[in-house]
Amino acid sequence: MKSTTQSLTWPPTFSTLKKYMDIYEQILDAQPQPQPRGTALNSEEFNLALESVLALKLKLQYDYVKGDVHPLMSETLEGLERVQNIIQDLKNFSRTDTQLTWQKANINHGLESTLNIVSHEFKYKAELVLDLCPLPDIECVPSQLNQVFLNLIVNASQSMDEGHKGLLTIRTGVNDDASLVWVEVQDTGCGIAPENLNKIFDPFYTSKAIGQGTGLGLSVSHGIIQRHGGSITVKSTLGQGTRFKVVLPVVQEPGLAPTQSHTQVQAAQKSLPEQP
Amino acid sequence: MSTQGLQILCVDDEPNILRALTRFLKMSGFEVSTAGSGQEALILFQTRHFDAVISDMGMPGMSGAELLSEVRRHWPKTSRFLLTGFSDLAAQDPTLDDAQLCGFIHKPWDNEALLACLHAALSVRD
Repeated sequence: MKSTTQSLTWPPTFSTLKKYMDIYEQILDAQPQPQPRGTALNSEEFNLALESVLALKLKLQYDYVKGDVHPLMSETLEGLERVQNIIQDLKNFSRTDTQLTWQKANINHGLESTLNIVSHEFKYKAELVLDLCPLPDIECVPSQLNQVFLNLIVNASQSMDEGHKGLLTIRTGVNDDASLVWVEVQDTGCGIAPENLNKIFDPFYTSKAIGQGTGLGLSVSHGIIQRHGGSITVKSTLGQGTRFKVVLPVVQEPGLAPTQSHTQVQAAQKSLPEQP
Repeated sequence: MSTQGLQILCVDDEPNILRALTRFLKMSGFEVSTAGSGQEALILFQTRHFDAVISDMGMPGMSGAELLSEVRRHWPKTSRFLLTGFSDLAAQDPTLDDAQLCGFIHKPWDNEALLACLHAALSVRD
């Protein structure tokens, strides 16, 4: 992920700051030193010494350096803060759920962490519009949901042409009785042909060239959402764009673990043969 | 290559980028001037000779491609570079054939690579 810590000015800023310190040191060292008692420089020698300091300052671009030190320190600090935030986002994103039990998490938070991590994917291709509604925390496996969001955002970004800036819109909301939350990821990209719409969740289905991606993203995402008792649907128009909608329950069925498929459990409960 | 006395003009509407470019190029020995737009750049071109110009692509008003075409028309000896964040967009812009670039620089750039790019263009030119 070469681009997650990218900043135009870090880490080069640090090596530049070091260079600037070298310059300051050289200039300081070049100042005329106090002489032993009784052997003062005469005024001509003193002036020559000062002139050579001035010449050194010119050669080392001291005025420019002096003016640049403070902006450079601010930019370095800013870069470091950005790195700290990205690390925090990565930690949030990949919250390792060791026991694989339901946890309470906020989808908006997960979306924001995920967006920060992949911002470079769409930064130059699309404007991001966030329309996030305050949401109740929901019972889920947060790292798995973040994986789904990552998949949808990256797909959306890859559908958009680098030629003209598209629009990536992310909306969230909650239904009237606060039993369901939903997330929409919409792009203004190339769209999906109607005859392919029912294939996109198939494992290994992909519109990309051989060697580009596994074609597993959406099928894995589909599985995750299904195990959450939710749904993932798509609407698309060729040449205009695509919208994915994920709906998730706020509360999971008691007694149902994240690893079990809802359809399997429901089938067993109804004593129906298991649906593949 | 000695960079002593070589004049470079950097053009970008984002001050951060101008600062970053200036810092590196100055410390590498170039004389650096900056402009915040195509129009400003053209005005500066009237005041002195530039050995090279590095321009951003997406700017309000005149685009980088348009600016570099103008530069080629009036000051063909100035080496022209386009700074771009759109990886393939720049290559598809027809105005660019007109500009006859000496090189593309992708944002974010690697300082050493940028220097090598400049070196290659400026030493061939003579």
